[in-house]
Formats: sequence, structure tokens, C-alpha cells
Amino acid sequence: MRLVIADDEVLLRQGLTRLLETTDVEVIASVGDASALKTAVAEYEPDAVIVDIKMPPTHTDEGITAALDIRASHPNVAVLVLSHYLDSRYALRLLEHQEGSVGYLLKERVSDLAVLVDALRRVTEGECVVDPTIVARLMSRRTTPSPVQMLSEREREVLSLMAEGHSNLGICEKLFLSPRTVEAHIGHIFAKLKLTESTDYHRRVRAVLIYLRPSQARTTG
Amino acid sequence: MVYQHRHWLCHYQHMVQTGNLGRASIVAAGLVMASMSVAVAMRDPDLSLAGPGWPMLVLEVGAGLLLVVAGAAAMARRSTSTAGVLLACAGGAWLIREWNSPVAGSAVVFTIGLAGASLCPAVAAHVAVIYPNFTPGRLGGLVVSMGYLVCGFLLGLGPALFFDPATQGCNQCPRNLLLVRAENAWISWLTRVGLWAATLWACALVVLLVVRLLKASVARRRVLAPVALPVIGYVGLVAWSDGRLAGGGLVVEPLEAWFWSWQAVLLCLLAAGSAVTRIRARRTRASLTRLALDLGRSADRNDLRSTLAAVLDDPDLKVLYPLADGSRVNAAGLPDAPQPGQSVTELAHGGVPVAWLSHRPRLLDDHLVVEEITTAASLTIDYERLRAETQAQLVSLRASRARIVAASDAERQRLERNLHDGAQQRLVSLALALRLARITGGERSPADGIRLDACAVELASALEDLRDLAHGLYPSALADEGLSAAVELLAESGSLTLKIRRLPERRYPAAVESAAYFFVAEIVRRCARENASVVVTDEAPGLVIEVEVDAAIDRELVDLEDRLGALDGRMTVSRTGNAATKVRAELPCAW
Repeated sequence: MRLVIADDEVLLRQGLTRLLETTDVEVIASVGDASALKTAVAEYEPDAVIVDIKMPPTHTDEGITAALDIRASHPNVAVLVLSHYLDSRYALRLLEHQEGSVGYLLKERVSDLAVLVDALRRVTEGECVVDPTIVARLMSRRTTPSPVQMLSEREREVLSLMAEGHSNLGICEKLFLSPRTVEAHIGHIFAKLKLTESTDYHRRVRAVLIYLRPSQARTTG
Repeated sequence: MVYQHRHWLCHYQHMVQTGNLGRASIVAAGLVMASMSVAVAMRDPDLSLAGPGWPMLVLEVGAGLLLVVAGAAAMARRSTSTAGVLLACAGGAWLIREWNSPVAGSAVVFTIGLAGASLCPAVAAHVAVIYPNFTPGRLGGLVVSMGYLVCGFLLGLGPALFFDPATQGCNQCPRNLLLVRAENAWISWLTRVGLWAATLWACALVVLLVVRLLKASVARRRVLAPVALPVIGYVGLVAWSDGRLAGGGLVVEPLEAWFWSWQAVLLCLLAAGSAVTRIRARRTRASLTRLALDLGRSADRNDLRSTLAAVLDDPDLKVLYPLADGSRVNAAGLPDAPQPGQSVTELAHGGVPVAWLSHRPRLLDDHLVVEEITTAASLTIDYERLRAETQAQLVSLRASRARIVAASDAERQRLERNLHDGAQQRLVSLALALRLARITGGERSPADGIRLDACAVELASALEDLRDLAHGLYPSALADEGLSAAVELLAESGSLTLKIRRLPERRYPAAVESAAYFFVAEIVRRCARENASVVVTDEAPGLVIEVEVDAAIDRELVDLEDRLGALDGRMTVSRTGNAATKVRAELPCAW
């Protein structure tokens, strides 16, 4: 897998590059800001980019903006956003506009090589990956009545694993359930969320989005 | 205290200067001088300026006495007290003209008569230049001092020093007490120069007064004219008469009498002119009594501005009060300034400004109206000024409280950014380095590998703590997206169920948003693991935030109250059920 890293912290870029040398991920460029990232993407056409949410010049949300720009201009490039923020709103902003091939991880996950590489692999395969901590925070969010409230405890568990980006098989392993049971749960979830018309893959993504996006989600940006 | 002290001091001085006693003694002195003039004139009517016949004598003495009385009356008013003294002096100077008569009887009277024979025009000119309470400019001051030099010295004291009655052929004259040396040539030289100088001076004064009258506004002219016009006439006559003599004209008795009687008439008019001002003052006072009554009647005595605006018919009128630091505030204690193009009139109390009126130009050119306002409204002015001072202090106190809270918010925000950009970044890099060390060095020494793993776990939890800490300090959502976004994120923070209803989406001033957010966050934090509901409504006066929790809040909420109070907000706590508490905050948003 060919990867471009964008982070204004030189130490982190170097560390990450060296760490990824031990895997099959090839870091073909590492840059310090959003415009350099866009140039690198245009030049190398990588499989994926890792982008820090805070970069020069304003150090606020350049990463999200760059991620959305890249997804719009290069649909084949998957984007994994790294963030220090616990807020779900940046993750939601990313997912508002993208139904797949994006991920949002807390920055400290970079030291967990397995998690990082797994997330990279899944976003390049078109899934969307959200950090478990953020998913947990969203799960505990009980602000307004939403279709998700109608789900049973088990169904919600399955849905939150789907949101983290796990496949059916992964969910089976996590919850110690048979594939058949998991499929049944997912079927119930689709039915309760009234997702009956589209193909299986899109239903999956949309279920996750219904779960992640609170009904009164604000349009941002 | 300092101000009051000064005020009373000034008042006391004023009483001494222009008290009844002083005025009575001036009138008494005038009567004495008048009777002496009558005595001198009666002794030999042919030698007197009035000539034989009592009507002329009555006119002469009457003019002097009228000036003295009018002067004493003018002294009663603070604004014309100096002019009053001078007016009385002019009367005196007019009366002593009769005293340099050979039949003066006493050397003292004769000498005074000699030295002051020509002083009257200078004093009358002085009155006209400063009336009613003008500070003469450089030109006015020059004209006044030239008058004293010419009329007092060249035509009075100067010749008197060299006038020996005996060598002048006046054997019956009393002794000249001022005589230094008998020099007839010097006397005639001084007199000749003095007559020319007096003519020129009188013309200059007439020009000055006429120009001033023409340049004054209508209201101002109404005040100046009754005094200035008689003086112009009187000094004009003096110039005519002196100019004629200086040009070699002979003393022609009927003409001199004509000049003299008209001068007396004009001085009577001067006295009357000053009295007219007093009568007008009475009338103004009567009209302004309404103001005093209105101010006294109104239940809320704080509205000097609108009462004055109605009485003076100027809706844009403003009343400003001075603060100790020199700034000006309105009755509410808020900084204010006169509108551009408006005139500003000072209201003073014992010389100390107590208020300013900003009004349409020329509305208050008449000093009498200003004085009457000061008198009629003095209690209200004092009351409003003190209240404005207190209000201003409150305003500045509130502003400083708000600044302190804003500074603490800014500091929280700065800390939050620093933690994200500094400590957190470094720890993440450290975690990476640790991972690399684990990969490269772990194989060589399994024990080290285990230790490194333990470090990584510690580091991960440190990072987690740091992230929570930074988020609690100042959620970036609050600064970026506002109150509703930040409160919604509170619901994610875990243990409790937060029901949020009706959150206004719009942005508020940063101080209001953070006060409202920390109010909710703090209550939610204190009753963790309970259910809470938050209702935020945007009502007319401001933002109303109600937080209802399924718990009794035992601890004091003073810190929250202070935070809200800094923005003029209020907080109420009420028990709504068995173990439920409702905390309500109101925040005005007019900031």
C-alpha cells in the first residue's frame, strides 16, 4: 500500500514512517501542511493518506477540509484523519460528506501499529472507520429520540461495531456469536432503521450513518 | 469631601464679598459723597458744574446716586458682583467731580476732587467691557488700562502733582495735599497730551463696544446693550468734548453745560440699564420657578434632562456630569459627550463645575437663564450628579468583573490549545518512539520488552487523562460552533443521560456563551450518574437556561452565581420534587 503522511510535527512524521517500514505499507511522501499534501496526492496518486486534523496556518480543522477536498478530487485515495479531539463533531463532519473510504482515529492510535494498519487497510477497501472511543461517546449520547433508540441492546452493540468498521466476521469474533446470528441482528437493524431498498453494502454504511449522525445534526463548515 | 470643602469656602468668600453689609456700606458711602457734593455745590452755585438752579443739581447728584444704588444691587448677583462694584465706583467718580472747587472747604476733599476729576469715563468703560461677567481679552484689557492711564493719570493725578492753587491764582482754594512741585507748564503739557489721548482712547472704546454688540447673538445682545449703549453715548460725549478742547476750542459755558447734562442723563440710563437686567432676571426666575416646581413634583427626581428639554424647548438637550477622573457621564453614569455642533454651557456651584448642558447653539447665551437653572435645579443636579457617580462606579465595577471572567476564559482556552499542541503532541511522539524501541529492541531482551509495554500502557492512559483535561478546560466546540454544539457534546461525556430541549442555534457573545456553557457543565458535573435535562430558551431580555437534575444539589453554587453575576445574570435554585432540583439562570444578551 502506498501512503502519504501529512502532519506538521516532524518527529511524528519520522517516527510513523520508520514504524510503517516494518509493515507492507510504503510511505512515499511525508509533508507538513495541507497544500503540500494536495500536491503530493496529485503527484503520487497514493492508495491512502494519513492527515493530522490540525495543521498550519490556523491549526484548527485544515485536516478535515483537506481530507474532503482530496476525496472530492481523487476518489481513489482513501483518507484517514488523525485528531487530538474527543469531539464527535469533526468525525461527523467527515461522515456527513463521505459514505466510505474515510476514517477518523484519535492520534494516539498511531503507536498501536496493528490498529493503524488495520484502519488503513479497511479505508482503502472503501469502509469507514471511526475510533472506538468516539463511537462509545456517541453511543452514550442520548440527547434526542432517534430510530437508534428502538434497537435492542445487542443490536446496538452490533451497530456500534459496524460503525467502528468491523466486517460481519469481525463482529462475530468480537461478540462470540455465530455468523448466522450476526446476520439476523443486522437484518433487524436494517428493518428497524427502514433500510430495505438498497444493496447490502450501502445499507451497512447508511445504518452506521444513521447511528452516528444525531437527528438534529448541524450542517457544519 | 474635598469638593464640599472647596464649595463651602467659596460660598463663604462670596458672602463676605457681596454680603448685605458690604452693599449697605457702599450705599452709605455713596450718600455721604453725594451730600458732600451737594454741600460743595450749594456753597457757591456759580462755581459748581451744575450751575445755579436745583434741577441741574438733582440731575447731577441723582446720576451718581443711581449708579451707586444700581451697583449695590448688581453686587447681590454673583455673576455681576464685580461689575456692580465698578458701577458703584463710577457713581463715586462722577460725584467727586464737584469737589475740586475752590469752596471745597477741606484740603482732603479738594485733593480728591483734583486727582479724580476725570476718572469717571475710565470706570464706566471698565464696567461696559467686563459686563456682565466677561473676562476682558487682551484688547479689552488694554483698552481698560489705557482708560485708567489717560483719565486717571494724564488728566487727574498727573496734573494734581504739580498744581499749586496759590500760583494758579486761587487764593481761597484749600491746600493741594498731593502737590510735589508747582509747575504750570507741566500741567498744561499733561492736560494737552491727556485730552488728545482721551479722545483717541474714547474712540477706540466706542469701536470696541460697537463691534462686540454687532458680533453678539441676539440673546447676548439683549444682555449687553442696556449697559453698553449708555456707556457708548457717555464716552462718545467725553470724546467729543475732550477732542474739541484738545483742538484748541474754548470753554463755552452753555456748551459745557449741555455736554455735562447729557453725560448725567446717559449715566442715569446706565444705572437704569443695569436695573433692567435685574428686572429681566426676576422675570426669568418666575418662568424657571416652573422648572423647580416640576422637578420637585415629579415622583422620580432623576429626570432633569427631560424637564429642562421641555422648559427650554430643546429635545436634544443633554445633561452631563463630571466624574472625579475628569470624564463626563450622563445621569445613568454612562460615558457621554456633547453632540457635534451643539453648544456646551457649564453649570457651576461656587466656581466648581457641577454639570454641563449640551444644547442647540445660542440657546443659553443669556447668563441669567443659566444662573436660574443652576439655582432652581441645584438639589436635583447634586442628586443626579452623586447618583451618576455611583452608577459610573457600578458600571466600571461590573465591567471589571466581566473582564476578569473573560480573562479567565481566555486563559482556559489558551491552556486547552497549549495542551493539544504541546504536551499531547510530544506524548504521541513519545508513544511512537516507545513503539519503535519495542520493535527494534524487544527481541533482544524480553524483560525490557515487557517494561516498554508497561510504559506504553501508562503513556496511553496519560494521554487519555490529558485529552479529558483539555476538553474540560474549554471545549473547542464552544469557541468554534457555539453554545448548542458544546452542550450537545456534554451529553457524550458519559455517565449521565442528558436531555436537551430547545437549544437556540444562533451565536451569542463569547462571554454569554461560555457563562451559559460552564453553568450547564458544572451542574451536570456535580450530579454525575443522575439524569439531567437542559432547556435553553432565547427570550426577549436574554438567554434563559434551566437545568433540572434528579438529585438534590447540596453544595453551594456561589461560584456559578458569581460567573453569571459578572454578566448581570441571575440564578435561582428550586426544589421541584422529592429529589429533584431545578437551577435556572437568566443572562441578558445586550452585551
